[in-house]
Amino acid sequence: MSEPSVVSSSPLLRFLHRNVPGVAFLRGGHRTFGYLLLGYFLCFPVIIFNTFSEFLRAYESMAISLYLLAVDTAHLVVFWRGDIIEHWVGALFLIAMPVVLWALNRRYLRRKALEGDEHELSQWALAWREFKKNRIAAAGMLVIIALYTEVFLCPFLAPFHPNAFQDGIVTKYRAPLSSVTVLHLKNDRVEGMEMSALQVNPAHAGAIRKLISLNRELTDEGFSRQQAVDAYRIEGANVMATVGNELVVLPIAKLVDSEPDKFASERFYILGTDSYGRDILSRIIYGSRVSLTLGFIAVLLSVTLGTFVGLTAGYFGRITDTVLMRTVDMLLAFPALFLILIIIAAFESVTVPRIVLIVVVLGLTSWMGISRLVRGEVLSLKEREYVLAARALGFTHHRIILRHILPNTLTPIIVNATLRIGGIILVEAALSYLNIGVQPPTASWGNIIFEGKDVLAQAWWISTLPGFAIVIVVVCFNLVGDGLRDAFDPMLNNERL
Amino acid sequence: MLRYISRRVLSAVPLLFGLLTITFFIIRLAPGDPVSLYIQSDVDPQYANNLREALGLADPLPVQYVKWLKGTLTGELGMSFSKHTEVTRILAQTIPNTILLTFFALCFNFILGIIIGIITALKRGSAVDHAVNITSLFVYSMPEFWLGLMLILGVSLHLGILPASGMHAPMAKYLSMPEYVWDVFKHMILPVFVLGVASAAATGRYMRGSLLEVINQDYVRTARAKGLSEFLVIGKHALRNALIPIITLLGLSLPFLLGGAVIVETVFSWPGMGKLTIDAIFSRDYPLIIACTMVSGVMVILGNLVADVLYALVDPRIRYE
Repeated sequence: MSEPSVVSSSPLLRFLHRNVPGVAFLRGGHRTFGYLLLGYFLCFPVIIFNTFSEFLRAYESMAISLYLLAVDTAHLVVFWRGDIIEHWVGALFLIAMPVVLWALNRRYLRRKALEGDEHELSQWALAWREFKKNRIAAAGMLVIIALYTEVFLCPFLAPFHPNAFQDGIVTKYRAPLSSVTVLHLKNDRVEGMEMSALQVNPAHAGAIRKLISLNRELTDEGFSRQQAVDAYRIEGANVMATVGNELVVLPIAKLVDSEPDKFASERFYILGTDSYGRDILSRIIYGSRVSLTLGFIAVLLSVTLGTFVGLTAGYFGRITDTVLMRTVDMLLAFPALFLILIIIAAFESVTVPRIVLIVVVLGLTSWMGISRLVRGEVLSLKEREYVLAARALGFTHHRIILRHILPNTLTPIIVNATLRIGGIILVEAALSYLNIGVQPPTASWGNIIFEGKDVLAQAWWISTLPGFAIVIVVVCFNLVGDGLRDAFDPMLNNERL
Repeated sequence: MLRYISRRVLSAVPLLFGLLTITFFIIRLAPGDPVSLYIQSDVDPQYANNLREALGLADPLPVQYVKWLKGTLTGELGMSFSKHTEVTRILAQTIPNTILLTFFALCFNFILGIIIGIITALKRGSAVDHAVNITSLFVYSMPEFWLGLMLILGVSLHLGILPASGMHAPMAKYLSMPEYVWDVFKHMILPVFVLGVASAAATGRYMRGSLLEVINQDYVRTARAKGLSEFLVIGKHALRNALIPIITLLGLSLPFLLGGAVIVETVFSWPGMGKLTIDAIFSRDYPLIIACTMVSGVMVILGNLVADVLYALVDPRIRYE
């Protein structure tokens, strides 16, 4: 695939070629990959554009917080809250990721220009080339990258805060694609913690007040000062609103504005709401964070442990091997879910957050397969000439294992780990569904389904929709795993017929 | 043959022993007072002390271990404190239900899987092959509990064809024998389908590979060359040999089925061991949790034993290895 010469094209095209990731691939003939990369890159400006005011507020909030931190650390910790920091991280990510992509693209182009197409390829580059040919797997990979991107951007993508719930009368069990009218009430009250921060630092009262209002807008805390209504009408100085069977009287003075199109707005629920009137789409978006990161960390843990055990058993052999592998056999005799259940039951009283407990338990109960795999590889690797040579040279075990054996077991480990993440996500969802996994109100795909199961007939969308999210993610991981396996081992393609 | 079986049975013994040991240590490694595992927290401290003596928790760990092992092997699994009966008695009521469910799921899994495998192997590369492969991918990427809920929603709530949960209709006691069996069967269809369908996708894949391997062998070509019909070639010559490796799957799929049963039983309120374990976790009924975990492990080991013996019966080469 020779590249069309850059010199002969128009200046605009040349600029795009150099600065927009994906364009160079499109012109080089890698159509699918080029479009996917270009699409991914363009997502960032689109998101920034769509949430521009929120984006600016996040930076403003970060700047004021950092300034106040420099002034006084002790009393301003109040403002360093998880959901605010999420916004900062998201806003930083929105800028950082495109820059990283841009830089990687530039580096790629520079290298290509230097070496041409005919340079020698490493094993990884070869595998990558194979992988790119497999369009379905490449698409799966991109969906996964997009989802992990989404993990950082939750606050900017979710229409509402996942736990922002309402009265539970008007907003509960709203079907997908429905909307609710809300009245906006004034909200200039300063809460206790914020009050004390203000009193200690009277000199910076202006900045603190600004920060409070910024943060409130960022986290949708204004929700507590919104009233969802079935209908309303204006009567003199009051707004009469019907909320369920009740009639609520709100003085216009308490509303943010006197104009109906300013104090009232429509709130749109794309995927409906649950029994507390929480937006399902927002909960699915925030739930992805728990499900995806949990799966990833658990697999990382299990791969590390499994590789360690497999290397030790395979390399040292004899009694070490027997003891370790018999233990693996015994652990494999338990149905995995029972093992997980008994460990959770036994360690329930430990004072760690439930999420940490789940990650550790999932990691500790899923390493056995990997250790068998690694052991098998090591058994064959340690008889190879180069390992024997390394031994003859008197290298330490440590060095032989880490430098000569481990790198050669990496490919099956990576393939196996990718295929495993899907399985772990399923187990995590199952635990959350059984109500022993991630505990509400933290949203996870499993526990959203759990919350909807008793009202299946009444509100089918609560349990149904998160399930699709799980299926899509697991399918993608399986596709990528299969794709990687084929890419790393072209021989397999022939064997699979 | 007998020698092989006895050797295989003997090799299962240390595995069983290890299983019990691991269970013991998981429970003992748990932080806090072990007595609190056996009593509820609001109990009189004096009683707790008496219990500690009675349970032998004051003994050194190795002594405790030996005593515990002895108790377990003689079937003394203790009292369940959420149900106030002996654990063995509760298990005797629930294990048959789980076995019923997993047995039918296993049958369903193999029948569907083998059919899928044959179709995809014979129609390799065709649209049917691709369609089945994509469907299988989606089916085994699906959470079992969600599939169960979706079936309840569609089949039970909307169409009203099959019951949504439980094992018996409310008045099942008064039904005649055939009606009773029919009632249980109707309750069983959805859980068996959910439990079996995901592993059927895996079995299908395995079967496809196995059959493709056999089809390319010389004796199949010979069968074709002597003019046998395609049906006879596949049905009589290829299939029988392709089925042999599938037996190993019997042992391999058991842990998944039993683990899946926990979820499926909970979704469909099937009164089996899985639902019992989940209920036990919520009522902190430790003797029951421990017993269920052990029994599930024992079932897996026995299942593997049966699979190995079957394999040796079908394929005599195994015995002499």
